[in-house]
Amino acid sequence: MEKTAIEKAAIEKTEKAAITRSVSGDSYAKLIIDRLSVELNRSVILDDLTLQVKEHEFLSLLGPSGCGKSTLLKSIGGIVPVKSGAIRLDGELINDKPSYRRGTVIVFQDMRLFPNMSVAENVAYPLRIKGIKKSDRLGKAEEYLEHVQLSGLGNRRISQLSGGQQQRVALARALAAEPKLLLLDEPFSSLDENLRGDMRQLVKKLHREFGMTTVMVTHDRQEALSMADRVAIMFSGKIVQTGTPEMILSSPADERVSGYFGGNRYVHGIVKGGVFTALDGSGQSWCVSLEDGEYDLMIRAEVLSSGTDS
Amino acid sequence: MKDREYMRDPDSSTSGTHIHEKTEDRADVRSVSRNEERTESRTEKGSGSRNRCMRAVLALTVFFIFLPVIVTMLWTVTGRWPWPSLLPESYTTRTLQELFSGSSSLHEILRGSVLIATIVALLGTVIAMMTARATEIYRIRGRQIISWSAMLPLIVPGTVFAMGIQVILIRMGLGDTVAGVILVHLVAALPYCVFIMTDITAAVGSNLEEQAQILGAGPVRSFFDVSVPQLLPGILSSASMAYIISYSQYFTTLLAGGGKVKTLALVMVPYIQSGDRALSSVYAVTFVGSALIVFFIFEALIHRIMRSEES
Amino acid sequence: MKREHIVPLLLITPFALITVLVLAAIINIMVQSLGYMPVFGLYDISLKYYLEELSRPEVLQSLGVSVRVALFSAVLAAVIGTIICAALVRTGRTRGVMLYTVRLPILVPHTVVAVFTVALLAQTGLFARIAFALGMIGDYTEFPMLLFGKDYWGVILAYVWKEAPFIAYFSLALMANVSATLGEAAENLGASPMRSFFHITLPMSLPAIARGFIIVFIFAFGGYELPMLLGSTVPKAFPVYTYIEFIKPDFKLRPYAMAMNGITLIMSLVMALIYALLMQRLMKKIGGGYEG
Repeated sequence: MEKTAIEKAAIEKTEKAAITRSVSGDSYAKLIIDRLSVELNRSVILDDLTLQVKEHEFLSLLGPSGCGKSTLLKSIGGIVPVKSGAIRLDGELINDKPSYRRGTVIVFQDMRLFPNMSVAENVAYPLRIKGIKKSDRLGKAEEYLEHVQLSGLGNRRISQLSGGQQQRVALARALAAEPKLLLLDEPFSSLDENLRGDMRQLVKKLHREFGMTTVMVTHDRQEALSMADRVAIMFSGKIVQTGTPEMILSSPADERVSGYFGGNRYVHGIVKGGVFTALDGSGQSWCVSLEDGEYDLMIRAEVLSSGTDS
Repeated sequence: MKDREYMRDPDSSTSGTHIHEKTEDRADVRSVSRNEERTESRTEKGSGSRNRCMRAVLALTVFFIFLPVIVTMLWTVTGRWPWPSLLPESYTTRTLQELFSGSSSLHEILRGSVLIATIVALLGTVIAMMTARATEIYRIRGRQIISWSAMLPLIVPGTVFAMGIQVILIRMGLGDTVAGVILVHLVAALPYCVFIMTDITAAVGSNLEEQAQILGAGPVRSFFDVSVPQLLPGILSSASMAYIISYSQYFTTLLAGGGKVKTLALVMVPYIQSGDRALSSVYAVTFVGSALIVFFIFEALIHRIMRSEES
Repeated sequence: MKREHIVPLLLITPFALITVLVLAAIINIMVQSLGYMPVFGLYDISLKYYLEELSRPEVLQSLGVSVRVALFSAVLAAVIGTIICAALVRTGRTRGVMLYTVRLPILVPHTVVAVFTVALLAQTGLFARIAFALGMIGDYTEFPMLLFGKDYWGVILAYVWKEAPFIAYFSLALMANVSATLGEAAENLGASPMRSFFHITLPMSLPAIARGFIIVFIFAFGGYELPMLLGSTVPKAFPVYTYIEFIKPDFKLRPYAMAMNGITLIMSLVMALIYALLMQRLMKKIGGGYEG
């Protein structure tokens, strides 16, 4: 059936609205963090923080050292206590639930595989907790190991594996727990550079295959931007901006965000009669359609490197 | 979804050396104190009944540790405490006065015990420092043998060692002397000193010392100026441990000293055997009190050093 | 010799001398126990002193007492010590006043522990009086004879009072470490605190607990003060018996005492060896421990 122009316009509008909606987070929010405050040793780490993560989404939590992103992850996971605010998973308040009942699984930076169990037993551990029979759970563990490309290594001891292999076992173990929310705390930082690329691909693949809502903490900008559906930028215990990677880059919320991605240039100057003149003595000027006044002009790094005179 | 390439930030710290984040983000698994931050948070949230159970265990522990101490302290001021009263019938400070007033030589015995224990602490720590330096810094050959030899006094019970060494001490001319007693105490304390000093010497290493030497300080000077301050917590721990061990020695003192070298631990025993509860309680309390004072002095010093290191 | 070679040798000399002293004591015991005491004109080397000792029923009984005391003390101290350690770790009280309290018994020598034990466990001690007050006994003779009795329960409980806190303190660093990392990870994966403890934390803490166990066993086996002060005269504990033989004025009897010392030595060595072997197997099972 041919669509009329009006219908087409309507469809376009709804699609745009859908995009805005998904950007603003009205569609099903798996995790809702509402005005979360966390203190450790009497200093404020998370300050009235609000964030939403949508179902099946891959969200990167990005920010400089010490901004509190690991603490946020641990609060969600139930390892760090919350001073005020609410954490809701599937609509349910989980603040008071102990970590083993939350349905959130963290993959730690230091992997934390159990040396007293074999690789397969490690992966099967969440299944053992659920009461699944030994033969069944070891079989399932083998399946998960296949997903992380470690089939056949089930009988090895942890110490016999390389760093990259260990991290994959940690991932498989987390998946075996079938968590509602998968939390990755800088999972690749202890690995070699060349391994990281492979691991990123693996994680994306697993995200595709299992569709688990995932939050990954990283301070590697490249990693965050390339892997995530959405990125949340964090500074000093607060979420400063969330959006798709393109959005973050094209419309940074403030100087800190654009500065974080580096390479942007700020030029201070005056607009008079439609012409912006830099005050840094370089004598540069541009034609702009702005009212007279003092301005900071931001030139994006991509633009600078492509060599265009905008 | 293909990977989107974005421009690398030239001053990004992600390539090459990775700079770990601060303590609360970092998976540092070494010190117990840092773990306490983490366990504290985990346990504050802990399920009520489980934590209550654990706290009850601790309460019981404290109770059973202090109960005998309190009862013994009561006995020190007891005048009469016949069966079956739960508390003494009459109190008196007579027993205390008897033991601490001029005529009794409790003061002298205390002084002697403290002196011996101090010397043992000093010797033990210094020898342990030297040994640790040889194994950890100079990496002397035969470290495994040294490590096993250090454990020898732990495997050989003190009674066996004392009976075996007695005739040797006599032949060395050290029978029934203070020096002989110090030597035997040293043997008992050394394993602990060596363990402590080995650990901390390995941890401190020689980097800073080398640095000082590069800057022109001689080997002895650089050791004392740079390494010793860092080794101080271990040195104090080791000295504290050796002191308590020497102070507590009974059988070795008996055999090596022949009953002529009198320490508090030695002198106490006949009174305990006599069954005079008030008297043996005074000795017991005196002993524990004097040991605790020294122990806490060491602990305070260690804490002060650790705290000034953190600031 | 170059300077770098001299210095470490000099550094190790005092330790070496002390080790020589310890070895001398051991050799002296072995030699004298075989009957070789030239000073007193005894030249023949034979095992007869060992055989004679081991054939005497009182000696065997005495050995039995000491083994029993050592075993019960070590096992109880290990179990209770582990529970205390777990409680400390779980409640986060790994520093401060609570820890000092736990360390207190470690500072108390066995002779003072004897005083404490008498105050509590004697037939006229505090517990007996409480039992009387509660109407559980009518007279102090009805209170079980824990002290000075053949079962040596007083001695065992005295050892436990001092050594359970020792094991707790000794295992603390390791258990706290494991609990905070691996234990946390297990809970994160859905294990309740109880399961996380028994599946992960406890197995991985076993090396420290085992080491504490063996130390307590050897101390309790070779300990003199507590059995002497709190034990019965028949049967005697083995170190007490040994000492009585040792101070007999007739020097020709010395080899008998030394044979008894030799037996203690051999037992301790055997225990240490068993421990070393078990540790090897344990470390293999738990994958060489966790270092993060």
